[in-house]
Amino acid sequence: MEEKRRRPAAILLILAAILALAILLSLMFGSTRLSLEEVLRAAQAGDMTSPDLRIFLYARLPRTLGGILCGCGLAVSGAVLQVVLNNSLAGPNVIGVNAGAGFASLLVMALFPWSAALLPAAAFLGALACTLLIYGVARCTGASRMTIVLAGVAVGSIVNAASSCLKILFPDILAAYNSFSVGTLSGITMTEVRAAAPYLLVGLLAALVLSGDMNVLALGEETAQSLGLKVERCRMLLIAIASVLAGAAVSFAGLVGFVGLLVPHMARMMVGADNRAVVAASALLGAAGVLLCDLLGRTLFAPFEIHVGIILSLVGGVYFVALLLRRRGGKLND
Amino acid sequence: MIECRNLSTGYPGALVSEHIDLAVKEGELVSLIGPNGCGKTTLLKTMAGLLPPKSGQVVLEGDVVSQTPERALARRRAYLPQLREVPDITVAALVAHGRFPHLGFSRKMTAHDRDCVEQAMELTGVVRWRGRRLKELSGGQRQRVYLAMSVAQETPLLLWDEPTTYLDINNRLTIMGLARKLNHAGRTVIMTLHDLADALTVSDRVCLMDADGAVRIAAAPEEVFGSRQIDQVFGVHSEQVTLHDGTISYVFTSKRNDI
Repeated sequence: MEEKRRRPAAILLILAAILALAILLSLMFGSTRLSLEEVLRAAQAGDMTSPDLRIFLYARLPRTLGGILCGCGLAVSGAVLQVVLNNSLAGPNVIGVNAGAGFASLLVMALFPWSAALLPAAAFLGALACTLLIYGVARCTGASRMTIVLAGVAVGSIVNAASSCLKILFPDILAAYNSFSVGTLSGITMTEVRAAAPYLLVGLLAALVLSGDMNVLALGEETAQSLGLKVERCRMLLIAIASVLAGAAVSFAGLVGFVGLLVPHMARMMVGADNRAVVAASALLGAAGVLLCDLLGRTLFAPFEIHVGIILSLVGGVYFVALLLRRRGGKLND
Repeated sequence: MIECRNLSTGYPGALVSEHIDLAVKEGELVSLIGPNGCGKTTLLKTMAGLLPPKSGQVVLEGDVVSQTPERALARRRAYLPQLREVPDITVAALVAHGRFPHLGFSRKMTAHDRDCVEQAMELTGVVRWRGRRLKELSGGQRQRVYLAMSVAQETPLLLWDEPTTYLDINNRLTIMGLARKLNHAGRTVIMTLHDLADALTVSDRVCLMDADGAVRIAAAPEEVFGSRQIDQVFGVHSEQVTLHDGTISYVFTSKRNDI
């Protein structure tokens, strides 16, 4: 079983094909089925009265692009963090992305209830600020990967307590917060996607560039340092990248769970431990996974829509149970 | 080659060793010995530049180690830590990581890099496991793979922290033989060892540290043995024995009867 040769390039190609299919499906299907011929015809004719074209431009396209970016961002963020913290169960919430983004968006909802436009920026900055705070606390005690996790638990607990206070003091915000905290791609606009896209693209590129260094970092702190890697600088840079990626994804999609934890784990099982392949596979698989789960959510009980975060929790939970049962059988995969 | 000048070292809030003067010449094989917790690892790490000195300095071929950039340093000395991760990669992939300090920004291996990896694997006898995953190997096999990585680093100086601890006798002797072989091939080797007989038989010089982290004596094995300092530091009685083939070895017996 161990001797089976993994061919990362072939697997990446297959994942890319799956993503392409997911994009096509996500553009075509939904509460109504779009005919791509009609969309193309209307677009060529410049016929903005065509309902198909309007749905395509203002609903499907932003939603699909948003799904791709959100899935890529969270999955790559998780892949990076699992290496930095040497923990195959780490995800963006470990470095306070969820806690920070959640608190900041609650704050905006409470203080500026009329300006929903502030929400993405607030979530992004909240995630980033919380990560910085956690890193700052960890740094005072040496910033080893253990102290980062512990500082994450401590700071996350404080921030979540503050969030809970806000929810009690401003009960009106609960309804709006609910869909944010579950994570959804519904009602997403091109403006939101356009605001988050640069951060996600730069973060993705940076993660790919640093994926070779991630391999050296995975050899352990002392070995990496003795090989000439600036360990602390590299670790800080990677945490910043992970935070930007996840923060940008959360800014428009809300606290979509499980992608950052699950997808890198699956990617590693598919392509092996080389992080250059893991980062690329996570990006493709994350995007495809979020698109397909979102598609499922909006077609399963149409016209009702199940938030993509709920579907992902469901799929993620089932995956984990399956993983546990396999371990019990003695087939350790990692 | 490398020199500690009035070196004091330790961790934040804990001084381990003070006023160490130790010079190792090019082409020497030196063992650091001393009781558990005496600061052998701390000294070796400081020499490798992984730990900043509290005072004094370590000079590597004329350059102060603590002021040399990481990458440049990694092209001049390899350091093998005591505790190592077991990443889920193949033997060849791990050994290839030894080339990291020589790679450019694109991190692409050249033909020369690949040659170095092959040579290192041949020299350490790990070629036959090249496609195996690290997790499938035994402790002794893994140890040799890690040594191969440090050899592939192509540095004139090798610093190994307890390369033989936890290994069975056969693996231990293989690794001691490897240290000698690399030393004959021109590498300077400094390693910490717990096995005193190994240290006294394989080394050009033995550096004995006491429980306070001070260097008691750093001299040829015969001289260290003759000084009886080992007996004092470890609380043992040491004896030199000549084996039937004429080689000299050492045995140690407990001085106390308090157990």
